[in-house]
Amino acid sequence: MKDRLTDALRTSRADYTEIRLERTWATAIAYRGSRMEGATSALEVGGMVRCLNHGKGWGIASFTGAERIPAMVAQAHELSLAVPLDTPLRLADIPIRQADHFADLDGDVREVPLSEKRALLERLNQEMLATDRRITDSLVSYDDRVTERWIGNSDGLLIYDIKPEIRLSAGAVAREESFLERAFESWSARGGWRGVQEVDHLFRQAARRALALLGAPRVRAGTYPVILDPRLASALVHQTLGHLSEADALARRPDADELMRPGRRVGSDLMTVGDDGSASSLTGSFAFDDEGAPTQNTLLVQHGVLVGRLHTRETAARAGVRPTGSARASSFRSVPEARLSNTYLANGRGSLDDLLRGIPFGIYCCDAMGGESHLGRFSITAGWGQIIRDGQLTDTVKPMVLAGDLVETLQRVDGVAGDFRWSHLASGCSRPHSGRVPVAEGAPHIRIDGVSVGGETT
Amino acid sequence: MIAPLIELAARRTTLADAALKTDETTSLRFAGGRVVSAAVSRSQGVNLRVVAEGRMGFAGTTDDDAPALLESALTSARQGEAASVALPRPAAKPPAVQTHGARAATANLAELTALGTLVRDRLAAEHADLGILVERSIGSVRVANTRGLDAGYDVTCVTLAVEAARIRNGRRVVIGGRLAGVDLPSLVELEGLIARLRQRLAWAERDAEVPAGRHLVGFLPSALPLLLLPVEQALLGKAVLQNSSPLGRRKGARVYSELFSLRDNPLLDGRPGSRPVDDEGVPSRVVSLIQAGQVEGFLYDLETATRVGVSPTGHGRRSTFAKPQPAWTNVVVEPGASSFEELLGVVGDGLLVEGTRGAPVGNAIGGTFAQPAAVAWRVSGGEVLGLAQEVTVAGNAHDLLGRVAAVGRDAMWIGCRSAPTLVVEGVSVF
Repeated sequence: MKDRLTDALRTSRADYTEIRLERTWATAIAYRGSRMEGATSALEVGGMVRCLNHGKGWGIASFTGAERIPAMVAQAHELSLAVPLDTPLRLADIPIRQADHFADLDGDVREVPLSEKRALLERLNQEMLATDRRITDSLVSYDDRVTERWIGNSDGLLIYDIKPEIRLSAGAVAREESFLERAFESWSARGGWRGVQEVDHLFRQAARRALALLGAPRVRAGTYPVILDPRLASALVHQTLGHLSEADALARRPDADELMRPGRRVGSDLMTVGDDGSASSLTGSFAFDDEGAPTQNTLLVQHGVLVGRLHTRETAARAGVRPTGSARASSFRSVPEARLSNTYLANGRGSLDDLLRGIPFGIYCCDAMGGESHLGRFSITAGWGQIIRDGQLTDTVKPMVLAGDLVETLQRVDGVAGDFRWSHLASGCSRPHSGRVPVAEGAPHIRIDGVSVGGETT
Repeated sequence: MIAPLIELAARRTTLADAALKTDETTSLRFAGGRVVSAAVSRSQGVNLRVVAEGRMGFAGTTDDDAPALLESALTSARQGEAASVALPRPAAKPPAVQTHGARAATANLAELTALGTLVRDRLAAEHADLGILVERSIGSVRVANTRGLDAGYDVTCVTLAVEAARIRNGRRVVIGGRLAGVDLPSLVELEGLIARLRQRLAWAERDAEVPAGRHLVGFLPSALPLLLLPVEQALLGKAVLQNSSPLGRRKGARVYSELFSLRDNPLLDGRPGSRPVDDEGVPSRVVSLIQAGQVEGFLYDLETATRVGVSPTGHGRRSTFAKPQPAWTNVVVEPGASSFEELLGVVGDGLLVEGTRGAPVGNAIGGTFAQPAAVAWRVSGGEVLGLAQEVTVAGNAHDLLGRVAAVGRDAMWIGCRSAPTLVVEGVSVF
C-alpha cells in the first residue's frame, strides 16, 4: 500500500496532494434477549485523495478498493481546478515526518476466532438476563476493529499506523406490572482482546440500574443545586464548550464565533477545559491526525476564560496559529474536520462528600443519555439520579433533563472535586454527514449552584 | 463479481444470496456565492448471506475477493442461529419503475454548478448568507441468489439543498429547503423552492412571542418527521417481532385520526426511494400501513416475515456490512383538502413548525418528544405574525396523530417522504 501511495503521489500534477488509505477488519455481534441477531465480519479497503492548486479550492476523491489510485488523483486535481477562489486557501505548516507507528494491539482481535467472541457476549448477556426475573429483555453488542492507515502528501510526509478499537454495549430492560425501565452501560478502548476480560461488571450494573429505576419517582421540575457525576460533567463539557471550540464549525457560524470570542469568560474560575489527543491509551488517542499532524494537549478554557480552539491545517492558517492535530475523519469516506478527541474538565480538590456538605436539598445527577445544545443554550439528559437531603444521598430518581443558558450555568459551578475519571463510551462522537469518531470524556464531580431540572423525556 | 460469487457459494451452501451496490456521487458545495469544494466519491460493496448446515451467516466487503467473502460468511454461519428463509425465484413479470434519469446521469460538472448558481442568483436580492449543496449520484443495484434470481437496476439521484441565513439581533436565523429526485429538478420545482425560501425569509423579518401552553400546531412537511418517525419505526416488522412496537398487536384497530393515512410506495416514477425489487430480490409493491387511522399492515423483509409467519412485503434493505433489515422506501402521507389559508384558519392562534433541532432523546418508538424548534412561525388570527424564537414543542406522536384537526393539500417531497401539513390539537409549547 505504501508503494501504491507514493507512486500515485508522483503522478499528481496538483500543487499539493494528500492521500489517505485505510484497510479495516471489523467484527460485530449482537443479541436481543436470548436471541442472537447476528455475528458478522467485514473487510473494508479504501482511500481519499485531496488536491489543492494555487488560487483554487479543494478537489476531493474518495473510493473503495485500492486499484485505481492514480485515476482518483487525476480526478481530484481536475475537481480542484473547477473551484476558483477569491481568497487563496492556505494550509498551516506541519512537521514533515516519515514514521511507522505500531500500536500495542493488546491481544490482536483478528487472531481471536468469532466463536470465542460470540461465547463471551453470550455469557455476559445470559448473566445479565439471569440477574432477576424482572429483567425481561436485553440489547447487547460487541464490536471490534483494526484499522491500518497510510497518509502521505506531496511535501514528503509519509505515515503508517495501526489503530485497534473494541466496544461493548449492555442494555437491560426491566419490567414489573405495567412499568418498564431501560438502562445502558458501555465501554470502549483503543485496545484488543485482553481488555474485554475485565468488563463483566458493566452488564451487572446495567441490570441493577434498570431494576432500581422500576418504581423510582420522578424529580419535580424546578431549579435545584445539583452535583454532576464525572460522566455527566464530562458529557456536558464535551457537548457544549468542546463542540463550540471546533474551529471549522465556528468559521461557518458567525454567531457561535462571537459567543466563543477568545478571552471571554464562559465559566467560573474553577473550570479549566482541554482536549488531548496525545494522552496515552485513551479511546480518543492517536499519534497523528488525518492530515498527518502530531496530536497535542490543547487548552480551551483556563480558569473560566476562553484561550484556545481546535484546528485543522486550513483553519490554523486562517487564524495564524499552529495546527492542533485535531483534523479527524471517521473513515476514508470523510474529509478531516476539526473534531474532539479526549476532552476533559481538569481536576479540582476534595471529594464528592465535600461537595455534598451544606446542600440541604438538591439532586445528584448521573450518566449522560444524550443532549442538545444550540449556541448559548444547552439541554442534557441524566440517566438517573439521587435526591440530596442534608448533605446525604437518598432516594434514586428517574432520568431527568438539565437545561439552561450555558455561560450562566457554568459560571455557577462552585465546586470541582479532585476525583477525575475518564469515561470511555462505545457511542463515540457523531457529526451529521461526517460519521463517528472514538472519543473519551473526562471530569471529576462538579457542583452547580442552581440548574433548571425537568422531568424525564422518555 | 456477483454471478461468480453466487456460483462459488452454491458449491458450499444450501442457499445464498447477495446484493452488490455501486455508487459514484459528485458533490459541489457553495459558500459566499462560490463553489468552495468539489468532491467525488466512488464506492462498491457486496453483502452476502449464506445458509450452511441450517445456520445463517452474513459478511460484507468493499474488496473484490469473492473466496475470502464466502469464507467470512461461512464462519459467521457457524456461529449463527438455526434459521432459514425462502429466497425468491425470478419474478415472471417484475414491476417497472423509473429509477434512473438520463439527464442526471450525463450532466457534467458545469451543468451541476449551473444549478447552484441559478439558485444563488435568484436569491441574490435577499442578502442572505447562502449555503448550497448540489449532489448527483449514479449507481446500480444487483441482487442474485442460488434459486436463479438475478435482478438489477440503475439509479440516479440529484439533491439540491439550500440554507439561507441572516443575522438578526445577534442571532443567526437559518431557513432551509431541499429538492431531490432521480433527475435534474425542473424549472417549476426550482422556482417553487425559491418562492418558499423567499416567503420564509420575509416571515422571519419579525419576531413574535408564543405564550406557553397547549396549542393547535401545524407541522409543515419539513417538520412532520417528528410525528412520523415513531410511527414509521412502529410499523417495521422487526419492531413487531421484538415486541417493541406499540402498534404490533393492533392490526385492524383504529389508532389514529380518520384524517391520517400512510402508505409505502416503492413504485413511484422518478423518486429516489423507488425500486423494482428490494435488496433481497422480492418484487416491490405498494403497502397501505394506516388507512383512515386504522392499522392495515407492517413492512417485512425475508427474515422478519419468516419469523412472524407472514409473506415478505419487499422491504428488505441491506448495506455492505449489515444483515438485511425491513425499511421504508417512499413514505407517503395522504394529502387532505385544506388550502394553506384554511390551515392557518384552523391553527387560529398557535404555531406552525417548520423544522426541529437535534435528534429525539430516549425511547423514540414510544413517540414522546420534547424538541426545540429550529424554525417555527407564530400564527394569530389565521395569519403568520413572525418567527417564534426559542420554542420547544412537546407531546406524544402516537397521541397527537389521534387529534388531527386538518390536513393540507400541500403534499411535498422532502427526501423520501411525501407529506402535507398536518394541524394537530393539544401540542405543549414552551
